[in-house]
Amino acid sequence: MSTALKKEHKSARPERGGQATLVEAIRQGIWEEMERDPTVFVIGEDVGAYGGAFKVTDGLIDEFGKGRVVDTPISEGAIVGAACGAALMGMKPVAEFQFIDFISAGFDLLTNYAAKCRYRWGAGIPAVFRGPCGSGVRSGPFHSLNAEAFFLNTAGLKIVEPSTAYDAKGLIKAAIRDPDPVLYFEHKKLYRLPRLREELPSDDYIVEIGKARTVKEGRDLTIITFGAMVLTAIDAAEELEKEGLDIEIIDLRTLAPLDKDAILKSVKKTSKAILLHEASRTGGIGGELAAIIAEEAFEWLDAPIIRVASIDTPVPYSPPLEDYYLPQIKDVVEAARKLAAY
Amino acid sequence: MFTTWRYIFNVMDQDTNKRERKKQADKKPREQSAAEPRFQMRVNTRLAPATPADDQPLSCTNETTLNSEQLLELYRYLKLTRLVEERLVNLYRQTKVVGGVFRSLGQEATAVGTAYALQPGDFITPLIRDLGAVLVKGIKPRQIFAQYMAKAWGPSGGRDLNIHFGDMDKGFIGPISHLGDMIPVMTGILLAARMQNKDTVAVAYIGDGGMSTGAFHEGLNFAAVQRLPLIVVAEHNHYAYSTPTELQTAVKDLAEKAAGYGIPAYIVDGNDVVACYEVTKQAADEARSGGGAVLIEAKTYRRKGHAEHDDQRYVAEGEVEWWEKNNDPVDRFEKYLLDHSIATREKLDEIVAAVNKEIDDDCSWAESSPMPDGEQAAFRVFDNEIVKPALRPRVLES
Repeated sequence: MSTALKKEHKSARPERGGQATLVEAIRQGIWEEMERDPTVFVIGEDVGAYGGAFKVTDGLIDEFGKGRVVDTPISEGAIVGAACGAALMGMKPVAEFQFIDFISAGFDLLTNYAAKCRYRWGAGIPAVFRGPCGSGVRSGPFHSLNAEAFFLNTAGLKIVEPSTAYDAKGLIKAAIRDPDPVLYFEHKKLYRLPRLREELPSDDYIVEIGKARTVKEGRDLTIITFGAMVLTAIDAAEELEKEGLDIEIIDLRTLAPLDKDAILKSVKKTSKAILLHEASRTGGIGGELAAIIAEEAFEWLDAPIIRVASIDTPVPYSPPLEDYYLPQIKDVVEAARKLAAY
Repeated sequence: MFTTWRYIFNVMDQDTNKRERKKQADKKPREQSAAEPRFQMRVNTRLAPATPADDQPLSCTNETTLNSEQLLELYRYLKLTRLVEERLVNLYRQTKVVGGVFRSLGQEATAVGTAYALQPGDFITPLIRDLGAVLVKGIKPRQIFAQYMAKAWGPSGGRDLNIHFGDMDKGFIGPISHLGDMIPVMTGILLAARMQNKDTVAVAYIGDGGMSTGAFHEGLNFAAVQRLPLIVVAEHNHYAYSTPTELQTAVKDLAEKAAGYGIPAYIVDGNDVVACYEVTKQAADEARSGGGAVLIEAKTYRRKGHAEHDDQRYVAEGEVEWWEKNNDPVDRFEKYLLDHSIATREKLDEIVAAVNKEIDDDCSWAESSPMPDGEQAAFRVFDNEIVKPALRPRVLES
């Protein structure tokens, strides 16, 4: 069989810093960490010559070779297991799920092996498990998942999800350097969103895992959210501002372990909270956030805690169905108006 | 009890194989000549169980490169394994063991013989019934006793049980309860070793039951594709908890499964400790020199139930007794050592006395360990320099 590829293709090495979308920021972060640390390597399906389904690993194989960019069979169990084994040997794997929906096929090894290894015998697993999550892109029930709630009840896994290019780069670098397993969720709708293109610093920086970010300060009400819903919150806040409501927005960035201090500080300031997330409502992270607020900031509350989330169905395919499924700006606005009335 | 062994026996010459592949590569893609066999099954049965001659007690294979000293060390490990387990049963009956006790009675030779063929830098990941392999890799009985009794001085500090721990320096990675999961983990160990330019070989143990899992398939397939030096030792002990092999798989010999991964296989008499050593030594040498993954099926028999509580009501009458009388790995090896004048009975007794002394000492040490402080449960989920321990919060006081 001929070894000549159909298309001669060599991807450009990313700039260090400069204008970047979210996907470019992640690629920059992985690239820089691979340059900095020879133990960092990439493993996953189609991550090599093809550069990954969303081109996050594009060009890595040309720069770092097959030895550090490992294409695997369609085997999430093998990907997670091999990443764990390599991590035990002192390597720092960055494992890709082609879509985060397929994380279910690696669930056993993630929750039983990666998460429990340090606890059981002191052997940390410094591995990153990343992939595209999220709905709103008309991809149907199997390419739209937000998986955080599956893992929140598993001790031993850190979970991060950026909503800006700056955070995407800083968090992937922090995740790679972290001594414990990190699930790194990338909302696919944000990958190439022009709105998120921004100038990144050219120096080496990280965004600390476990720290939320105040997107916008406000007096009247706090929206606690993360991922693509940060944009929904910003748009809703703009509309509400016209009505004289001053909204504070907290982007969690890290979903486990949660930045309780930032959550409580904001709620104690505004006394009202909306918990906004894209995964289904029941059993979602909103319930956990509500419990924290109810237990630890009850005396500061002036109104019920409101969850705005997707409905309790699989993610549907057809645009009108998916739009109904997802929380929309109007849903946030409506919830805020209700709270403002207290 | 023994059936006739019928295997398609075709150990392909590696060079011919390469030439064939080159020839094929020169042709148009995806075209297969009609003369080309669909697949080649490569199963080496040289050291498979032989049909015993009538009334002739079984011994071990004469084909060995091991010297007397090594053979006696093997004997020490066999006895150590059996006697540590017997002590664990005593502790269990005294209610000092917190969970269950899982015996490898009757199949100790597989774990001991295969692990003994490895070098110090090599890795193993055992199953619960591979205590012998764990001891060969240098784990001390005291660690095992402390683990079973959930003591603070055990390697997991009471956080996990039995051989569920690891020691990277000794090349021992403990299993988890989910069978098959360790195959992909070992694949990762070897992938990393290759990146680090180490010529590490690894043995991953699996059973007739564990081979039914998806993780087993995913791990071995990936190892085979990457041509990693992974030796999968499939212990065919006939029962997975209570389920007999015929309800587990439709193949007759577990070794047949190797064909599905394009890797060679061996069938070995799992109750012949010398044969287990020799087969693994050969497989390890081949794997180390670039031969890729290999499957070894060790035919053996589990004489005890799944754990001490199991009454084995699912086992045919007389079956366990047959194996005990006719095919006990320790008896067979003792006969071998005595017949070949490698040791006298007195010498063997001396070894057993030393083993018993070690077990007494280690058991006392483990019994003297305190139980862990409850609060320790909150520590070490993450690196606690970065994430605080998960201490129980006080109600409405944070």
